[in-house]
Amino acid sequence: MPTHALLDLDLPALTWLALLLNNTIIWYAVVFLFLLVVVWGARCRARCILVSFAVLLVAIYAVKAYYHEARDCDATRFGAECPWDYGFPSGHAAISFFFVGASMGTPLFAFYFIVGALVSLTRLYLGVHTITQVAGGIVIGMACYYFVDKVFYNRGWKKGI
Amino acid sequence: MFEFRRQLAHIAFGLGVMLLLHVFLSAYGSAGIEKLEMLLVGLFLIGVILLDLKLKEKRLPLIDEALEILERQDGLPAHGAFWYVLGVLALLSFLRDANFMYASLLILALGDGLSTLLGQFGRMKLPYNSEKTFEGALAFFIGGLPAYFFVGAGGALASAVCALIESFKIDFDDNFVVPLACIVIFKFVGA
Repeated sequence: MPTHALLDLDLPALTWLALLLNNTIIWYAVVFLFLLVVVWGARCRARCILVSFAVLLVAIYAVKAYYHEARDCDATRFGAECPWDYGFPSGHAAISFFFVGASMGTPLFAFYFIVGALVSLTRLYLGVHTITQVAGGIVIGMACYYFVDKVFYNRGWKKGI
Repeated sequence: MFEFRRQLAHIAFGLGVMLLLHVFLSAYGSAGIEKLEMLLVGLFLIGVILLDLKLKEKRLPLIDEALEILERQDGLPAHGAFWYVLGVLALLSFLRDANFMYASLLILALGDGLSTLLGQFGRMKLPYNSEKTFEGALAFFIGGLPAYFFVGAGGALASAVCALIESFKIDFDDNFVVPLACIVIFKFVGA
């Protein structure tokens, strides 16, 4: 039986933040992608970032479809809607950690890291995901960027973007 | 000596995670896997912060010394450790049966570790990859064979396929490719 580790917590500020992040992940992704590409990627990695983000979205939904793991909607709290799609892996965690991976070594990292950690934490707090689902999202998000970077652009891990 | 130390740490970490998995499963039942995942996610996040600092060429006492002892100096700080922890996290989250997790961790720890350790003494170069030896690939297979005791013939099959994959010139870290291969193979055999 999967557990939701943070279901005992009830902090109003965290609830507000969790609901905000829950409803705005797409806008978050668009704005952050723009920021990453325009501010850092324009010089050398814009195409890689965009291609790997597209690969990430395909990977998330392919894995969700393969595992077709139902969500435990009874655990959802604070009026958050139980999402319609499958639970594994967490798309929110995957997207937010994609940005963590892509921004490593740049001044943007601290910001993306804090948001990434908060997004993942609030998925557990709202009860929409289990730890396994969030961990799966983190793996896919981090791996996708470096996989595309290495395989298609043959650059691998360099200093910053 | 350096490679020996490095592979010893590789094997010790993998076997350590196996031991932790056993301890957590004994203590918390099936919820133990999630507790271990939580621990590894925490470890991974700390690692990501340290890695970012290394990419920015910051000096990190103790960490720098550890990296000097355990990591290859090819300009990419701690990349092996990064992919290792991410690979283990992938195994724990993508596989749903503890026996398959044990088998995969064993293949990753012993198979991959012994292959590098013994492969460097090998004399028979592989025809498709001059950087690797037949002895290394064989050491991988034999090192991963005890996976049989966890999942039956599927474990031996996974060990053989992973040994083959590892012997190719793949431009991506073994520590992530091997767990990925284990996940795919074990999904085929019913994990």
